[in-house]
Amino acid sequence: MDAVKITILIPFLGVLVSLFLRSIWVGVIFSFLTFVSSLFIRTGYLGQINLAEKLGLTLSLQTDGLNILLIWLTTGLTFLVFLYGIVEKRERKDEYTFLFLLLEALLLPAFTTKNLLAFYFFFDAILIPMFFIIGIWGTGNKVYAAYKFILFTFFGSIFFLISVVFLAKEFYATQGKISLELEDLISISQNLSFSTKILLFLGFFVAFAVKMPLVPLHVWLPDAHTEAPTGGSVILAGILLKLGSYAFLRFAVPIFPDVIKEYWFWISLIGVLGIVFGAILALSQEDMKRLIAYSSVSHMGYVMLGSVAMVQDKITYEGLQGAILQMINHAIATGGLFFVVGMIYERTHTRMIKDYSGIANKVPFLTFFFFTFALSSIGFPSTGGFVGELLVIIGAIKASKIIGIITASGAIFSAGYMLYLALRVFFGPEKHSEKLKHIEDINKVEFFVLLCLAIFVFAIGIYPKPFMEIIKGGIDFVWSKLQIQ
Amino acid sequence: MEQVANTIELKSILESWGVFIFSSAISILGLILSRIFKNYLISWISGGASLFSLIIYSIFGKIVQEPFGVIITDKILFTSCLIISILGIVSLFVSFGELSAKEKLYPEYFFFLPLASIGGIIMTSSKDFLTLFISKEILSFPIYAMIYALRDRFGVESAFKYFVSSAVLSLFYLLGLGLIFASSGNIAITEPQGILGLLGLYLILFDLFFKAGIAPFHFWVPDVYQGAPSSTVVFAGSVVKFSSFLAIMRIFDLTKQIQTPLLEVAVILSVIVGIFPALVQKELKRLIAYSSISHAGFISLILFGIGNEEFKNFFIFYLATYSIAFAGAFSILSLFKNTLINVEDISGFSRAHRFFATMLTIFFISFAGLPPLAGFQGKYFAFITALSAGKILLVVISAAASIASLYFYFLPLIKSFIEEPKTKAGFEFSINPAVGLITLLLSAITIYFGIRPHDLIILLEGIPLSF
Repeated sequence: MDAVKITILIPFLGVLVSLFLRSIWVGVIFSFLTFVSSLFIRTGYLGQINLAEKLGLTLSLQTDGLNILLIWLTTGLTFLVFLYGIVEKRERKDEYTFLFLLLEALLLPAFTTKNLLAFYFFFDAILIPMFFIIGIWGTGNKVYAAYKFILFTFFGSIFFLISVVFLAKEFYATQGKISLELEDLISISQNLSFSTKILLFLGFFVAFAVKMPLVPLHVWLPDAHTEAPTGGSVILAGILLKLGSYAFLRFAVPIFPDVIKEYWFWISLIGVLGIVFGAILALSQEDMKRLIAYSSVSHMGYVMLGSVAMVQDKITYEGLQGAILQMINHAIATGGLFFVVGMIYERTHTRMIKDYSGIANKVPFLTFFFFTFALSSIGFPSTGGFVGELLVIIGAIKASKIIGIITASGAIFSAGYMLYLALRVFFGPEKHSEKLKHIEDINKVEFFVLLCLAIFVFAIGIYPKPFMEIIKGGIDFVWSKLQIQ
Repeated sequence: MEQVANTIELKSILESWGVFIFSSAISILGLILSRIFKNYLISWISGGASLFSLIIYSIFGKIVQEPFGVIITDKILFTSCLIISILGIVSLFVSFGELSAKEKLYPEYFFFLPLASIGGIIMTSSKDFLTLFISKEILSFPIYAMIYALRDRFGVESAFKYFVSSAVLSLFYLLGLGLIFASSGNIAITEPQGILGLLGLYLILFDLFFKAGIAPFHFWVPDVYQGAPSSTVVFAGSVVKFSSFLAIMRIFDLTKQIQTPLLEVAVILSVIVGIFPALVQKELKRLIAYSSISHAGFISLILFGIGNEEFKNFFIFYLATYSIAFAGAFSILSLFKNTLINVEDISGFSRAHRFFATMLTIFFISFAGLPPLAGFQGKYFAFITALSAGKILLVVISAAASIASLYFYFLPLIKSFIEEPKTKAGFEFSINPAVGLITLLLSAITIYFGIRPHDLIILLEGIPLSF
């Protein structure tokens, strides 16, 4: 047993324990253990857990610069969600523990495996706990939101499954055995005709685009984010969306390099569309969570753009760096914002911006943390968001001037909606309404949760070098797969 | 047909037929005794012993040449013997619970179960069309009676519908049998001779499609599943489907051709006919019935690859795991006191009976084909087989259908987990520990083979144990 396998197995153990010991502390302890053991994971690991080798389902594990940060992010954020769960007022905390541990247990193998069937297996299995998390603890129109989430995501992923199975079938036809390992599918995809590849790529791309989400397919996200409970929103924004962008770099780029070389411009346009469109929509929102949800659409556009911005059939170094770093930044900043909004909501039971005004005097710490995350989200220098967005914009300008210019101007919008939100909620004349009467500042646990995230906002913003060194391994992976043909 | 030796040794008869004779005898004996002593338990125990002997046979039996030349003795016979008798035992426990809770316990019921199981087992491995017909009727007749076990309005309606339509389709079968005999002078399952033989084969396949619940011969499924006692459906829905599908597979296998156009139409119709009515269906039993039609379409997808041994395993995997989830879902429904269970009725079900609600969730998600449950593996196998056979369009249609199906599979789960109970009165629900244990086992199987599917194939290839 090594760190990776132990990290994957601990949440499963926690799921079993949570069936019998019905307390949120099970979740706290097991997610903490997972977090600690995940810190021992190093890049360059290769391993295997056999599920059904002959049928193609093998959990081939791999860690490199592409996924190790996401693994730490998953274990860390889940721990923080549980920690916050202690002080949060929630019904049915035992089921809450079970579902979030299950979610973590399914997320970790999804980020670690390089077998496509195993990836699909966990990619889709995640829908089940998330559906119930939104449905049970959600607010307002929660059933509608949960349905929208599961139907959209499943719509994307079923065609991903068909594409994957088609590749496996091609491999079976030539080699006589079923295998869905990434290397095998890369080798088989080279023999296919270009038009077949385009169709298969579409299957991959739609699945990941729904998950990310990219603009025409983002409509599930505002509802799911808005209605989900705080923890659900944090995990959804922080980790689930990254599954799409991660899988794009891990699977879609290596298997279909020539399709991406041909069509990168159009894909990056979709990304740019997301940046601008998400930002404009965010400006007009009246619900705080919905606003942050649309800001997620905008930020994931940067990730998509950075992942495909190409110069001479090679994705730019800066673009890839920015895309991978932006995944982490977005998880921390948006996760933090959802925590903050969740904490405010718990005190006042309203998310409508118009119900608030000038609460900064009453909740100074909460205001401080809100600004930390909001500035990172805007891309303010000295926060992580600045580094990520700058790199993506550099990559985009290198690849295409027009795209670069549109992207850079899109950044202005994000300052607009975030600061306008802050202005309306935290500043302005103090409002004395029934709803705001009981608002008080955060307690120690909440402070700790937000502090953990805030530290990383500044750490990435001020000294990004160690993160860049890890990310370099991920870029090498993508580049090596691009050069195969 | 094979040459039948002039003198057939008693030993060889006993080796291949002994277990069937023994288990029928023991269940008849139990029935008589329980009528004499007026004790239902005797018949229940003898029925259990009878089914248990079939399980023992499937594990420790020997593959021998069957002396009359009517049964194919191979691995599939033992596989289906194991699965059918396990489903029979599940049904034995569930039906005892339901019938005794509703005070409609009759000893005949526990005689019919093993009898129908034997019919189902022989049906999976018949070598000629006549044996197939007889075993099919041995499977069907007890089921007509079992559907009417509760002696209520719903029961008589569904039993009558099922009986009449079965009888009509059986006539089709006999006509087909006659045509095949006329064209080739032979009733063995071989390649059809000429247009007449092909017509005969089609007529026979129609009847088997009817039994398996494949569209366009599906019309009886919702009515029967809804009106029959849930514990009968545990058996009738799973075993009849299992046996009929294996019989279809045998026919395709032995005639060395897959009736492609027929099968293509069947897949498309089944998937569509199953999904659309289910979207607006608000009664749980009917909902599962429609979903079982669409699953029949998915299973038929694997029939396209039947020439390949590996894909044959996939076929049995899908059938076995689907039957198990199906039996599990209906086991839970059998605990409700009402015959009709509307989706609205189970609002807040998890508050009152969290265990059963969770089990129902597992079975429904397995139906929906989401990982990590066995239903997903079945869907994956269906896709890989159909794509290997080049049926891309069929796969895309089934995939689209499976997206839509998520809606109605998750509807009961929403009601039971997310919504609050409508009334404070609680549920008309009787907790039965035996059924609880059985559903726990079935859901454990569903989860385990969802994660490690190959183990089921290894398990089934391992029997019978050869000494």
